[in-house]
Amino acid sequence: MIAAAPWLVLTCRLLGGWALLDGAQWLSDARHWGSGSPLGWDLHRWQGRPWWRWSVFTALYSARGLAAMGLLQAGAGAWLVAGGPLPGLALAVVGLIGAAQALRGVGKGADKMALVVVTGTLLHLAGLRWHLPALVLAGVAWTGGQLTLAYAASGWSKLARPSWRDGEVLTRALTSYSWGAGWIVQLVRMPKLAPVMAWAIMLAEALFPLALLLPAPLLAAVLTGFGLFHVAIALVLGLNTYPLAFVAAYPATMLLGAWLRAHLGLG
Amino acid sequence: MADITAWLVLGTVLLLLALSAWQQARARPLHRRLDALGLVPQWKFFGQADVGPEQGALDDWHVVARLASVEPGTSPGPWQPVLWPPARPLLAALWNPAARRHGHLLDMAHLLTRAEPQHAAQPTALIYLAVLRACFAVLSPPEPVALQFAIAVTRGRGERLLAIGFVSAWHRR
Repeated sequence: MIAAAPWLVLTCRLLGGWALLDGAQWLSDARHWGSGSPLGWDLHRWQGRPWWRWSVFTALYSARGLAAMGLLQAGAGAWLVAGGPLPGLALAVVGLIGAAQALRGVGKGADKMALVVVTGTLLHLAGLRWHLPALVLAGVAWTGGQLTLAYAASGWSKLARPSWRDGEVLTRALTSYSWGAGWIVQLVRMPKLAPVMAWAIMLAEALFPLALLLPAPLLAAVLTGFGLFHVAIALVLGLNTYPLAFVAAYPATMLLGAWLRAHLGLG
Repeated sequence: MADITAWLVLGTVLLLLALSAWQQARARPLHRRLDALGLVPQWKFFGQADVGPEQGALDDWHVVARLASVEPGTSPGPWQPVLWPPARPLLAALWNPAARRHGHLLDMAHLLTRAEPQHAAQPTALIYLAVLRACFAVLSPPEPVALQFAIAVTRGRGERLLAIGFVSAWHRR
């Protein structure tokens, strides 16, 4: 029931878009991560485990190695966007590069979510290929479950803080140079707008798990709202890889919602 | 056999999801030694951010540096900006390749200002050396000149409250 190939195609295209953008950005910036630079591996390899000093990692995390990984990731992403054959292979490439970057310790939330979606999609594909519904469910549960956890945990951790509830954190963040933008400062300083925005964000995130029980069109509408929220964050905070990484998890979340509703007798 | 494997995978996924749910309630993420790949991620997205005199997550961190001749009796030059939160055009929503690098360097600058004695940065600390490298890369002082850097902290726009969070020793290349 949850095998739904069209959702899988959509996931591959969205994830491909993320991989293309992220890989191209790595390719563009790799020269600043070389030996002798502030973030060079010749310095940072000393912070980790002994095996970090193996020559394979020195090559992988050199400026050339990072550029090569970026190129490979962007290529695999373009392949997925174009709907090329053997999407599992392209996903495995994206996943291995994501794992290498995760080991390097330079991953952000978008990278983590992309790796979650890669893993879930590979399980889903394998389940379809070998006709194993449990494997399909594992993939869908992993991606949809992590997305649900991501939103819910963000919401509840914010609700626990008085400074979030009165809008102070949001005002402080959006009026900073690190996290804000000039054009939003006037907006967030309007009386009572910051607490209203903060509560809207907190409640939407904290109550997201309940959305999984909504009929498919309503769940799609909720997810569209969250997708627009990610776009707004990209515009304000410049976190431009988050929208595609998170939206790539939405098809699996739709399938998880359908599975839950069917098994809870909600139609 | 394949069926059993599939059910084992499903069980593992459900176990990892349960671990992830538990992980969200923890103050700190699992140590990287236990979860090097981030298989059990902690999702907070500013949920850990707080305000108050001891909270700095929402402040802006600026690295400034000055040069001085090693000749005795000379005064150091003026503080010069090295690293600061970059201006972010709307285009950054589409293309922002330097964001990761800037973020990491400014996070390191932030860590240098932690006041707890057990976290006091030594000149051999990796974050110290990384920021020092950034200063040398930007200012490129000639050989006999020494460099000192500082971390300045500001809060908000316009009404900027400036404080010095950390001052380094003097260094030569």
